[in-house]
Amino acid sequence: MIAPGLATQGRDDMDRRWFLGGLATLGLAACDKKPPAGGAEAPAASASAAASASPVAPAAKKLEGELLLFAWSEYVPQEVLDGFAKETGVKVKYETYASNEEMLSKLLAGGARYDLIQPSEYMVEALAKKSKLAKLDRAKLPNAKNILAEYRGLPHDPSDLWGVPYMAGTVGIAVNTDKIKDPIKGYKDVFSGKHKGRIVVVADAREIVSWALSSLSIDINDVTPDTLAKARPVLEKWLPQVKVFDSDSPKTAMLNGDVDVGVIFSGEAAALIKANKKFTYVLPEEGVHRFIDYLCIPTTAKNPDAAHAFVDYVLRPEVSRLISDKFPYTNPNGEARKLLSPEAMANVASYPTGVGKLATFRDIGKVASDVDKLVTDLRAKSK
Amino acid sequence: MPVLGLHALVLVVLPTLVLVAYAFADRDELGDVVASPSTEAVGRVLSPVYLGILGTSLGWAGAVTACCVVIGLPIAWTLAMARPPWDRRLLALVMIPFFTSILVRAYALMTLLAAEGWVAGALGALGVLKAPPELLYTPGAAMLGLVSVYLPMAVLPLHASVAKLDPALLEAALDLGATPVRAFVHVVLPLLRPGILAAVTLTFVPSIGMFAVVDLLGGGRTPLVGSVIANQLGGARDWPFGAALGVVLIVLFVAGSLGTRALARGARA
Repeated sequence: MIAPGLATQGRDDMDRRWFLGGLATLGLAACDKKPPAGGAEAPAASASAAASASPVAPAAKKLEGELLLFAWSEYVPQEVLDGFAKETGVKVKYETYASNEEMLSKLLAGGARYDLIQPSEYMVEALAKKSKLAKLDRAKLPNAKNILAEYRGLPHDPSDLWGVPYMAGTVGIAVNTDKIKDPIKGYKDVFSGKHKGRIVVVADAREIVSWALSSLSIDINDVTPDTLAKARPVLEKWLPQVKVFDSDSPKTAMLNGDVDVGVIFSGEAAALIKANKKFTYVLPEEGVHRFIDYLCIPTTAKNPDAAHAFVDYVLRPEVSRLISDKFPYTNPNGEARKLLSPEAMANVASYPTGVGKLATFRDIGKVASDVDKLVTDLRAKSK
Repeated sequence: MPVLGLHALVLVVLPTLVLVAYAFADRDELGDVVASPSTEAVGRVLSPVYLGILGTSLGWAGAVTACCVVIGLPIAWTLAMARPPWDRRLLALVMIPFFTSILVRAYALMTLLAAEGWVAGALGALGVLKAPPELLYTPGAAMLGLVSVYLPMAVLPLHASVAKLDPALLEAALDLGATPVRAFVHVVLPLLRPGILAAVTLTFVPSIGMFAVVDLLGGGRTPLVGSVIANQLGGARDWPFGAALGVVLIVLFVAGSLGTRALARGARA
């Protein structure tokens, strides 16, 4: 669920992700000194114009200090950070991560006191359960009214206490239609055996297991030793067919022609479609995993006022539109969608039509390690 | 010496103790370590899945080390025999890869090896192959990446050893009727043993934990112990298990380093 870099064609944005994500895990901190994602790009003139033309938030009292934002790499455009700094005087420091679990590890380790984090829905639930999130002050977020009704009151946070949706997306099937002529409708077509060695999938154990569960008509949140045992034979057939496991930039293997079909994040697929019309995106008929990334304030935040101000700033339609322009995920902001170009709204990866069974992940707690073990085991065996 | 002792305490002893403590601790739902003892993590290390992965990782690291030493020795030899100013210039060429990140170099290799990349393009243009070759996302690509990353680590200690080699000894052996092969095996190799052992340590230890290059170039199909450890903290919410695997690696390294020392002592005796 990495937002794609659209300005660049894949390679240089991947390095950045590796530096910030992979290397941090490796402990090679010395290599971790690259500027945060987007840092190298000059802010677009139109962007700052749009930002400064917008009305100042009504509750704007004098803000000070700086804001430490901990968010997905390739997900928050530099012009949004610059626009906020220009308007409020609060400088935003943007640190990045490449997975929810990586963010969790660093938050728990407690090295830095982040003011704003960007967890997906199931992680919001897990963090809230463990009292790691501060309740949002809705009075400071008047622009939250722009969020579409379908993104409110969801099962992981029924009263919308803990976060405001930032962007959403799905995990689906990207197809190179130059190479694959027969119709791909779901996982069973991807893993039919015909495309062996021509498949890329995200390297995320929970994600992979959820596809197997969907194909067995089991709820993707019903993860128990019993359902994992049922998923096992399915994955035993599927995983040996995979050529590449890559969560950081699964689009690369498709762009380079090394594989023809992928089960990847919708934003990655949207970038493929934008790069070349031979690519298309299909929501698997067995069931679709939808993810929603939120902006949340940890209990340990140093500058919650600035954090609220930033959230409200991002919720402005013209600011939210900038994010969609750069990273074409599904925008949950109804007013921002009205500002998007017809072409952007027609990108099937960003705004899929004929949406069937959409499900979001719930927190599964300790079973996560069993999920990881199953997939690691099968990957080790399926050479 | 006291400063050195403090360093060792803060940077080596304490973190290792924490690692060992984590390996025998329990975890909560978020994967964080809680203060109650558990042997679950250590028990998991001994399951066939993870023992197999450890074995595979040892095999990979061993192969990388062997390639680096075998390829590195002639390079080190050439460096040591070069006349000034070429010796310095060639040595600089060995050092230049250190200026860039390992991952940048891996991405450079990916660009070369991709199906629509330079190597496949060149082979196609020459008419060598009818179908595009499968280069990227293969075990061979992963091995190439690892060897190219760790080769300089082998060349440098080998170079130091070769430079100290007294050419008179080699000449004497040849004068006394030894074939070049025999002179190499019986005279040169024993003298180079410290350099070879240093090269082995400097390539083997980092390569067993390296997974990023293997995943990028090999397609991530072969889980190695490094990626399994990273997954415990970055996916499986099982810090104790990650720590347990780390402890196993440390034990292996200590055993290996004691073994190398014994070998080095053997060389001197």
